Amino acid sequence: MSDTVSLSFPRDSRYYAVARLVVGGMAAPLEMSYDALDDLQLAISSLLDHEDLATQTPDEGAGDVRLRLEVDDSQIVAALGSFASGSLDRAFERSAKQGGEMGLRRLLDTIVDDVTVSDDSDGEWITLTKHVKALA
Amino acid sequence: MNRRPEDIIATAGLDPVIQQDAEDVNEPIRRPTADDKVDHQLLYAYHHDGSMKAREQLIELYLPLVRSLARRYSYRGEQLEDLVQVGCIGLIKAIDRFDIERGVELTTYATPNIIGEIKRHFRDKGWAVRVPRGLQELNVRLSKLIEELTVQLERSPTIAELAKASGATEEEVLEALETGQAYSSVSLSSGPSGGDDDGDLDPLESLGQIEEQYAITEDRAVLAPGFAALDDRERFILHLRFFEGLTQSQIASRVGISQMHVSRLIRRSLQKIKDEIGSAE
Repeated sequence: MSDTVSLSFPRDSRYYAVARLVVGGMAAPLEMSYDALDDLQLAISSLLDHEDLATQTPDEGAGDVRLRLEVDDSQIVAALGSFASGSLDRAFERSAKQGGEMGLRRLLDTIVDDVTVSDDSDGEWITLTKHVKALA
Repeated sequence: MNRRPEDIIATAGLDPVIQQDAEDVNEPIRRPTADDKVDHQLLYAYHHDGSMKAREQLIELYLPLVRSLARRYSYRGEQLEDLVQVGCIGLIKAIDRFDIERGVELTTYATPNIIGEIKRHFRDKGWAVRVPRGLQELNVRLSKLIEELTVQLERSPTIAELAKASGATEEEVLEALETGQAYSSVSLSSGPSGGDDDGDLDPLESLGQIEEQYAITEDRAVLAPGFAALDDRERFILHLRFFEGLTQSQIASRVGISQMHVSRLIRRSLQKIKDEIGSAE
């Protein structure tokens, strides 16, 4: 059985700490390691900080971001959106062009277990999955 | 010390001064009488008659307002008295710039001035001071605990384990860890007192100790745009994390710094790359 928490906050860096804290609060009971939690928080921060990701609003301005966190015993799944159509691909391409092999996509692929981009009726969403490794 | 406005006026001896000039018909604005509000009388005495004593009395009269506003921000790790001092600068500016002809209350004009001065103070001093002192201390303690527990458990500790070891709640641990997550552009050479390092490492010393490990100049990663902004250690750490796939704990152990420090260096390096690319465009 999984539990879900949804959060909506302005696309403003002053609120990103709130998002990270909520992620931490969801991950803590899962006994996720600090290492893994920090990776997931970095992934979310990197997406939020990426200026190419315009949120899906009527004026394509800096609207609210929605973060949906779903946890079960084995993983935490963070869905972030919604972004204007094509935003994520453009962000990946541009950051690869600018940052070479150290682009946004490589960063995400390295620090979370799965990255999925989906097109929803309300725009694009990116879903990050981080597995909870059994404690040794 | 809270004094009644009436006492302030009495000690300032303002009434006689005000009364003495009351007959002056060339006054552009009405001279307040004893029936007017005390602050109006004082503002008039200062702005019209140049009474510095009245200015001092105004400051004293409005100190409770400054204190009340400062209290709102003191949880951010700054001592209340320091913030009161800063707020007083805002108050003095408000008193000096106040236009008695505009007919607004000094409170209305002073409040945004005081808050503005306090906010400017936080902006100027950087992120570290916005963090309550208790959380800053817990952050430093956690950094050491993460290191110790990683060695002891042979894996990265969980939040619950950190809470137990530090004697704090899980929420406090998360909050304290968050204080270290803020991006910071403080230079490495600023050292531990720069608010960005853990305090367990002299950055320059560490560069000397492990410099040879950073010899990865042939690696493709370091040739990527933006990497020019990084120093050798930052490049090396990004290389280990994103090209060799080492975890933060593994990097910490290999480079000889704390895991939390690795986390901060990764964040800072990514920010530097972003800034470098941004400035090149």
